[in-house]
Amino acid sequence: MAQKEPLTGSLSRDLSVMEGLLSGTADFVHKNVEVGGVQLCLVMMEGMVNLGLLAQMVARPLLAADFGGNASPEEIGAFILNQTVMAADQKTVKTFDEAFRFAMSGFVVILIDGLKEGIALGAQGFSFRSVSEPDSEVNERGSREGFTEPLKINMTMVRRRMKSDCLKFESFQVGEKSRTEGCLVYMTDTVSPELLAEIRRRLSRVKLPLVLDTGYLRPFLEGDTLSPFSEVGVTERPDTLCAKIAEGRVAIMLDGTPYALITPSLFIENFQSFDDYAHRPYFATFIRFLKYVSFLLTILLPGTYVALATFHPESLPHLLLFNIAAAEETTPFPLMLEALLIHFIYEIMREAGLRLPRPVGHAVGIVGALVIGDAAVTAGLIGSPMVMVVALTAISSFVVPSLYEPMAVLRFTFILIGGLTGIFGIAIGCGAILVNACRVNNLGVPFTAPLSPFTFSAMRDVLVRAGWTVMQKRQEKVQSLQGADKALRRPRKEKP
Amino acid sequence: MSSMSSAASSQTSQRPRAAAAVPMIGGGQLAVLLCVCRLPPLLLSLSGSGETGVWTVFFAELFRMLFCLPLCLAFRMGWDPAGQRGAVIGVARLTGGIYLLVSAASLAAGAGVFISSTLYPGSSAFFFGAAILLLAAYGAHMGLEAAARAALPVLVLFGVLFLLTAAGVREEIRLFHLAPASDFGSILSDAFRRALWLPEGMVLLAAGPRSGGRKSGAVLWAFGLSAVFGVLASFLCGSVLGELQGQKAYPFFELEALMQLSIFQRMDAWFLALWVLVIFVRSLFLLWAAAELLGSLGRQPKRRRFLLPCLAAAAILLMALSLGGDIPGSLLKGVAESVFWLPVLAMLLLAAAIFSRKGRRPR
Repeated sequence: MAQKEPLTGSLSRDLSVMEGLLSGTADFVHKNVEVGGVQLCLVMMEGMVNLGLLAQMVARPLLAADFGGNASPEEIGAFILNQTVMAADQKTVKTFDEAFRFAMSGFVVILIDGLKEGIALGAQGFSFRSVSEPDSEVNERGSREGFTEPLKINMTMVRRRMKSDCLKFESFQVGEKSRTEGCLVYMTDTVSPELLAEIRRRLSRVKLPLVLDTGYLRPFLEGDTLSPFSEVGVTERPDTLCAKIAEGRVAIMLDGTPYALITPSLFIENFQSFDDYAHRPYFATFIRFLKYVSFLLTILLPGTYVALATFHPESLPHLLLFNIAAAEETTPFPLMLEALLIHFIYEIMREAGLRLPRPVGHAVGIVGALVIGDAAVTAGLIGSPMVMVVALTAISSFVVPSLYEPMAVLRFTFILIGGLTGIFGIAIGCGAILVNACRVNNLGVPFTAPLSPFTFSAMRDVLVRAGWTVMQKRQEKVQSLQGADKALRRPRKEKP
Repeated sequence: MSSMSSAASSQTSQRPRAAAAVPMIGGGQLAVLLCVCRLPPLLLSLSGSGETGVWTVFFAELFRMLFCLPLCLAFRMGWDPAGQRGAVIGVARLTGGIYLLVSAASLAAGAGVFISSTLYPGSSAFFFGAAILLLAAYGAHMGLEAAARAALPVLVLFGVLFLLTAAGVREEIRLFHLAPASDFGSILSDAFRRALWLPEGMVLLAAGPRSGGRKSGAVLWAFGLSAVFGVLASFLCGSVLGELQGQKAYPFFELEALMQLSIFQRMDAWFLALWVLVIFVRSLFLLWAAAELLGSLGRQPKRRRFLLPCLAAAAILLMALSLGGDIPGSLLKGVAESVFWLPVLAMLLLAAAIFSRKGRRPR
């Protein structure tokens, strides 16, 4: 391909090749200037370069310099590299592919007639969303900063919080067409070399043409287990990312998305938030247990309610049983169908509320309250106890938002199982889900650690949230958990 | 160089296959695994009544522990059944695998009858047993590591609900309900006979090579803890139910139904859910161990992925025969309950251990 060919050194020819490869695209801008008798060309993409910075850094010093009218291309090149104001990024460009890549990343590429190498200077000036509080991880206390789209800005946010010489950003590129920049973030004194090598190997398997979000990379980083739970965590917060990498994990950040991936991730981490470490230990412990209970409620409450009311009504208190019987007496649908219907409508409304434009979004709440809360009950389509169950389930699901996907699917599964087989099905379904979750062993670290295999020392941040005077005594790493491999294993298949 | 390397590789391929040496679970996980395997009999076949029942349970667990210790000794001597070949160990694996399959079918049948008779009157026991076996096969497919990890929360949950039961019936305990034990000879013989029914020994045979730590310690912990549960369960049943214990098919479940502690009452359905979990985990281990023992007989790894579904199907068929109550079912039941299995198996295993030690090269 012509893109892989090196620059020829002839300015006119290089420009014509570039224009030809870009097919005359409207945002390709080039400006010819003459300095000391040598022809130069500034190549950039419109709207991506800060022109004021460019003028101050390069143009003014160049035009003010006195080369005597017979400078060589090498002298001009050396002057730009050494005498102009140092740009944050200064790269040498040898091929057309590199020239395009840097120009499309906001660099200005300077081609010098007679020189086979160009110079790329970082003078990015494109618009981007300012740093703001992350929407998906809201905390009561702690930082209000969340990642934004440009990778460099996210890197600075991490670096500001982790002023350690062991913090390393390792660049990579994914997407054959999008050529998205990304980086691995880890602590060199904590991370396992085998873990790093395995992550690099898995990322090398990505052959997608476009990689626009970290979600594209997630399946490649996960193991081969078919599990509703993901082994790769996601965060929008730089403080959370710093805390995770300090425990030996590796983060993956990608340009163009504020969501960073963290691997290996444990199941129990879905119940931990940054607020836990800002609050007093007793309150943080209380909130933790609240989250555990909420998780169980949101998955099991609808199915268990259907199972008990259908197959085991004697297990319910008498008054509740009478109320349920009276409410269900007037409804046309079986309890299981009622539960499935109302939860399905709830999911529709939730998705609609997520996609609607903000000015119209509040209408979803009104419609939801009217449709579900009042009209459906008044019309006798559903019973009022079921409305309470749905409400409690829905609220509980938002306590642990990172597990919403498996919770939503498992909720429907348990409603079906409970409605068809009763508490027996619920129990055995729980057993199957439990074994499935325990099977997950991504990157050599058990997903259910430190609960099982049990690591007593880690309980200070699982069953309770111990105070910092206790937590500081020992720094836990993922590699030190019971059951974790020091040497990484591929997704395990047992051999006799 | 290439000829030397190819000669070396051909020599390597001609050597007997090396034993798997990487432990997949720890000693603690092995202990939990064995302990959970011992829990379903508390529900389905709690023995005796009064002090007789308490002592029978205690001595039965003690005998089981003693039966398993030679196996632990063999492991400690360096015996690794995974890498061993030969007719003796082959027969041991075959009989052990079939023994486990029959145990799984028997357990599923008993569970099906229990579930259908307690909370699902009029329903088919076969459905519940088959569902347990199918999902247990799925769990066994997940592997020993996953199953061993899943066993710990089940054991913890069992422990909590067990304590809840004990606390809930404490006011109903009447020590005079416990008929004193008189004939220790019959207690010991009854305990010995019960202890011969030991599928956990086969589970230990299959899981032992894949676990780290001291197996003897794991065995001591597992059977010790199950002895504590068994003795307490038998004591509670005897002291609360008295003579009614002998008339109830599932005395411990009856006890749980009687439990009342503050808001915790009428928790039959919840206890059923717990027992279903415990039975599921035990079925899982039995099927896994059966697949492990029988699968090592063949030399074609590619076909082993069909082994678990086949074993599950075979177990379901055996269970159906058992529930059917016809001649094959009765015969099957008689064979399964025969006591000659274990001593024969024990002799084969010890012989294999001795031959292995004789054939082992000095280090």
